[in-house]
Amino acid sequence: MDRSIVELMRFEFERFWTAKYLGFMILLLILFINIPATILPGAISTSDLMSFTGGFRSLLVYLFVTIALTNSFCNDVKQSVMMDEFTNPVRKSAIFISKLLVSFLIIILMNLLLIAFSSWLASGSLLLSSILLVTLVQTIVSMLFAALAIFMGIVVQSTIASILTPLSIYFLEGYFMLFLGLNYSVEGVILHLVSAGLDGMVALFAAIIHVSLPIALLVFSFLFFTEVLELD
Amino acid sequence: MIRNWGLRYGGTVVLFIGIGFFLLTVMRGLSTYTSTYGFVLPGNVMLPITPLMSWPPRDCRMWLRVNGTVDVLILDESGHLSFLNGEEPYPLMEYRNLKGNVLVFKIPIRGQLCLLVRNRGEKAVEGEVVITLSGLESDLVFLSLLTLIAGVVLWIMGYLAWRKTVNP
Repeated sequence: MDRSIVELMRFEFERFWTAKYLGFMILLLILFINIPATILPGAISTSDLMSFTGGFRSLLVYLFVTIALTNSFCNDVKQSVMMDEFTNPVRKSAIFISKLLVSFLIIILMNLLLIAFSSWLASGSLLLSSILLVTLVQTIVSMLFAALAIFMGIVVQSTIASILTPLSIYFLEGYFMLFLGLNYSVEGVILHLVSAGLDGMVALFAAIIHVSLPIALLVFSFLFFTEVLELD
Repeated sequence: MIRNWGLRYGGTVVLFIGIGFFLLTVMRGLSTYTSTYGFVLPGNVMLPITPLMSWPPRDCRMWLRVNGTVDVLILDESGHLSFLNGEEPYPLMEYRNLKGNVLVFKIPIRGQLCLLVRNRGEKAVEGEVVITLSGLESDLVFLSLLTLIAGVVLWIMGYLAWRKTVNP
């Protein structure tokens, strides 16, 4: 890999995903793993594993991810717009992709390790297929909030908007599920979607919102960042 | 340079993870759990009195009240499978000829365990078992100490390497 890209990734870690921020985030997430302190009946199913790592813990993940991405994209762009140039000697597309890679790598790795730890804590074993499935679901759900934060950060260049919009969407989605009278959480619907395929309007809606929309937002943000913003 | 930075970065993250594990260990260790299981056992019969459940490796205090003499066996998943297949199970722990004792032992491993009661007499027996789990989970204690030490070592190594590059 190009050395400047490696340096850029390191810069990304040093500025936005600092060791203390990442460490503190993981510390909080470990403390909020919601596993009963004692005995659990029978084998642990995938939906059990999902419920141990969902709820308030999911909200914390989305919040931390949104804040880090907002700092990474929004503040960086705002600063660059003010200075009228990027100080990095690499192409804008490389900057965007390296930022995205670093962020998604951290999100996926963090989810994977914490879900594996939860599985071990609950059952004493690593249920590989369940761990991978729950990680995939958590990553898909995180993608919407991450994409929204990036989109708001680059296009609107507002820190408050890029933190508040994903959070409002999170609560609106929860309210929408309650309104429909469903016992599922959003993660539950995505799990159903991933494990059982498309089935019903809610799953279709979840697929559009959590898979197609983030991809569209990321593509638009990339084009806006590379083609519209006149930096360099 | 990247290696020094990586060591310090990794060390700090691992140190925070260690603190997280340690706090989680203490939080989970502070709570106690009590459950009661009743049983009626005909002569020469062995029956599981708990389903196969996930147990943490904590201190277990088992209070047994019975109107006869029984053996108590603790089985892991493979032992439970042997029992279901009608074979003689190989227990993790076995206490023989109990007439209403208090047993205190440490659950050896985290995992799926099951409690069996065996009546080797001819007469039917009836009783109940009260299980209380307390104390720290030994594997979590080990994990938190390991990550804390690893974090400190990594951070110090990174710091020393950085000092070397600044003042060669």
